[in-house]
Amino acid sequence: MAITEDMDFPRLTPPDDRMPSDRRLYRRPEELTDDQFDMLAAAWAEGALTGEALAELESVMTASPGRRDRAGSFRNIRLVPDNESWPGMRSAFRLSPALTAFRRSAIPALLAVAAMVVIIIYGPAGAKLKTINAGRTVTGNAMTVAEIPASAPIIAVKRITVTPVQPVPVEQTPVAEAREEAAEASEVIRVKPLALTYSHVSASSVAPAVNPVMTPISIRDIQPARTLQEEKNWMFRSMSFLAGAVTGKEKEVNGYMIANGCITGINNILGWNMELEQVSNKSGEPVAVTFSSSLLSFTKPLNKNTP
Amino acid sequence: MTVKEYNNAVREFGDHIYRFILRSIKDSHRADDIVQDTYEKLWRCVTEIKYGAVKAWLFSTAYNRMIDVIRKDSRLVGIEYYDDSTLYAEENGSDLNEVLHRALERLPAVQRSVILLRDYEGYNYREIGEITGLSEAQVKTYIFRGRVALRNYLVKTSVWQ
Repeated sequence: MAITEDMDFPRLTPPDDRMPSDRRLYRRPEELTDDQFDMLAAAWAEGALTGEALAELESVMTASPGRRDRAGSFRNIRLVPDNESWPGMRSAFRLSPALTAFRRSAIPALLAVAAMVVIIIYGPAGAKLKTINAGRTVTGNAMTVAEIPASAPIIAVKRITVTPVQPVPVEQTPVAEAREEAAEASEVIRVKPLALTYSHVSASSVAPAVNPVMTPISIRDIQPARTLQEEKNWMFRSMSFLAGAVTGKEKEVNGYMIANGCITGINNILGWNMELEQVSNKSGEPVAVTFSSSLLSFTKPLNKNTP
Repeated sequence: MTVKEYNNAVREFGDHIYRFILRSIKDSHRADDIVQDTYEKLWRCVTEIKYGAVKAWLFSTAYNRMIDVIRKDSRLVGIEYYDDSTLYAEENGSDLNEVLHRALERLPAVQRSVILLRDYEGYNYREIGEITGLSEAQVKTYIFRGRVALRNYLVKTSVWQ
């Protein structure tokens, strides 16, 4: 080992020793083991060998046909995908905001309209209307009317004097007044729902004198409801009539049925789970209604004055 | 990326990613879940990813999710602890591709994934490295070792004489 002459910064300088048997450490490409050759062959089959590495491998393959075949076998090790398809692909698709809004609003509306059309055409009311209009020519501007049941709910009294010669002018009074005037001879007439009482005005071309019971009443004879309660009663009776026309059954509609229908409709449209039940006593008379939902539950006793 | 491009990514790459995951873990339900999760994640950041980079992003995300699932299930077989005795089972199949896929199932998860990405999708080493988080040299090593293991399987099961 030599030491530099610069004593301020002494450094070690490597000696000139030589390994005596270094020739025995040299290797030729043919001396690669099988594992080493396989790794090179795999790289060669991948096209990853370049330059000297490629030349050496080719020399080995030239020298040994067995190794050439061995390297060639790596070219056949390639995986080919099968035809598996992703089963959940449909659920991964997303709709644009406009299309989402359309699907959430327009499609249910269209379905509801279609359902109403089907009910009107093929339901009991449609059949009844066909029966009414059978064998009759309807003009172009005619409107469709439903048959009025014989037992209309609103009752009025037409007072008639006993005198055979001169008829007294007709006047309508509510039932209560009519009972107070029981001494007088009276004839009960059925008052039709308001829309139908206009038949002599707007729908005379459709149902002219179809039913003797449907005697037109002058609009001047319809007295406005005196109280709010009478107005409500009239509305419920009108709904009862409409329900009978649609379902074909003369069934009285009460507030419970209307509310239950609304709740059922909301459940169907929005997927909620609200319930309205009517509680009856032993004699079958409704005494209370019970409402229950995930957020609110209550029981309300029925007011007997409610129609 | 727009919604339309997102849907294109579902249509174009969904099957590819599903095959890659399915062949990697051999469990169709888990593969479906992983791909669903991957697209759900893509949808959450749909505006931040360019369509041109979405394929690599999808593969990378699905791969990482798969590794999480494998680790969670303690099914990850490290290459150091690889049991060679299970590699050379009796092989009766004659279709080379089918036998290769059965041999693939016996490889460690990382080797399996890089070979699938290479053969199924044709990715280069750099791209595979970006997807799997490995260096290019590591990817090469895993692929070459995997090829050797597959070849040895074929030879020792008498598929190749």
